[in-house]
Amino acid sequence: MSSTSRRVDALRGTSPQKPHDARAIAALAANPGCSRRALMDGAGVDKDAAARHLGFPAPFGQSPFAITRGNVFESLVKADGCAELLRMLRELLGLPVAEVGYHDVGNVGAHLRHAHTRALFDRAARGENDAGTLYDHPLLALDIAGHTAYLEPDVVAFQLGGRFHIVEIKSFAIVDGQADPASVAAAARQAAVYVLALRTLLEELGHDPLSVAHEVVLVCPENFANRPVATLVDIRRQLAVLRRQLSRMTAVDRLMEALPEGLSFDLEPGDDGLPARPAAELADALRTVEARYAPDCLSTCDLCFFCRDEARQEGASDLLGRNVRDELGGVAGVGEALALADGDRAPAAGQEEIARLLRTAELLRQDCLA
Amino acid sequence: MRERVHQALDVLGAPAQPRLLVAVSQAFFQGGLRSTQLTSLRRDEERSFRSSPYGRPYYLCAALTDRLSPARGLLTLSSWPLERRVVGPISPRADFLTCAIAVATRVSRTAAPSPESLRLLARMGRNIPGGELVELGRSVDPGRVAELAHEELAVHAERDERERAALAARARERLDEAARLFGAAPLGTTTIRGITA
Repeated sequence: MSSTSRRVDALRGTSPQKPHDARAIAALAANPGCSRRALMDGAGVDKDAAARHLGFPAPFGQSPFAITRGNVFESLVKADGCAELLRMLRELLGLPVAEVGYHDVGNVGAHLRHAHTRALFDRAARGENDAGTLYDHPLLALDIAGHTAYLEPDVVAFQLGGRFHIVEIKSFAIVDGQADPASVAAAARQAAVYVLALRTLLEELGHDPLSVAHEVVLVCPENFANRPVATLVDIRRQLAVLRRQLSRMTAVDRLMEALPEGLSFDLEPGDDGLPARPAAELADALRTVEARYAPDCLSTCDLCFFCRDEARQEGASDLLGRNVRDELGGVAGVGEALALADGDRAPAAGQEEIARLLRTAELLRQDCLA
Repeated sequence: MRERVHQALDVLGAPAQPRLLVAVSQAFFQGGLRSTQLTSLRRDEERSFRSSPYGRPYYLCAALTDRLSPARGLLTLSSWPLERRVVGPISPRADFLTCAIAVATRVSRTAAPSPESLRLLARMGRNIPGGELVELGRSVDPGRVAELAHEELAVHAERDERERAALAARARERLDEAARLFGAAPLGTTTIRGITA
């Protein structure tokens, strides 16, 4: 065990490591600038438990109705030997009619699924003629900061010009060719995790990792019916962000260097099953690591309410969203921005430009209110 | 309930998922099947067979995968030949086409087909090449659907039959009677290495 992973383990303390799933890994890519998140995820700290202990539980996780809806839609797409999916792949990617081989990796026991996935993809990549076209329930692995996370893409399709395509089945609707951009972005980030995991797998097996297409097939219900429709989504950008974020996680040691010795996010339970440690002490420990709060954290991170509260107390401009924060570069917080706007405070060196803009904005506002 | 599942499977003539059986039962019989009822069915049948073998005229049993374990979520009839009850990589598609042909034939023979049966036929027809123009709710031509399904099936039939015959031979050689009907327990790591290598 390297010294880094020892230190990371010390950070987590005695609590068991929380395994990552694709959603959690994808969420990492949503806010690459946040050291707090990178560190806690790198150490595998249970952020949900931490947030609850701090008194900022996030109303998080999917609703059971959404999960049921998602499962029903997925089984509809996969019903009868993936009949619907085959139709869509034939229309979308021109899959030849003869290509219908279907392998359900889930038919082997749970403990063998990953090994079986490897064997099947190895055979497919070597181009043996009994290679299948659709692989259902595959299990991929990705190394996250020294620990293995297991990931389950919905379906992997092969044989479209010798390339693998990740198929992601989502139950949000595409109405008139338009879907909720936030849902699509989340699906793309999640698919990027699978693409990366599959590329890693092929590389380990000595095949060309680029045979995994950077376009993923997104399957959603169309309009207001339950009829599935497929679209191609380019995930190159998400893939780049994800790579960078994962390399940051493996570079957790650099983040660790800045931290005081003996810092710990330990959540060891006491006799009553709740973390024994005083919440204030844990909060202080967390505050030593810088967070970068943004309103989108509310949909991706368990600690969101804690960080939002912290940002409010500091009057940080992060609260207003990334665009505003970037516009207000060089201004420390909301209070300072307001003071610059109504002229209570003289701009410091370098702040002249933003101060002028803020004053103009204030004048416009006064005009509107008058 | 067993009767209803048997009726539906008998119409289709190929391994089928509970969802399809429910739809077929609704389309051609009184319905009343729910897919939740079908989940424990196979286990009950297996228990009954093991306590008194061949005590019933037929059993609802499993389809066998390429490693001779029970395939997930597929039901078959014990009266079918083993070749029809094993599933290779191509079989799910071939069986889907077989089922589509069976449904189309049944619809064409019915004087006044029920709306459910037409909807089922349209849903299946849409997923066969050439049938993209089949619209839900419009009238579907069962003859045309069967024709398209036959065309695609011709592409797969030879390879599917070959693979199924090989699997069935392996099942006969390695499995006892109960396992031939309900599938062997999933194999251990060592055997799988032997097969996939």
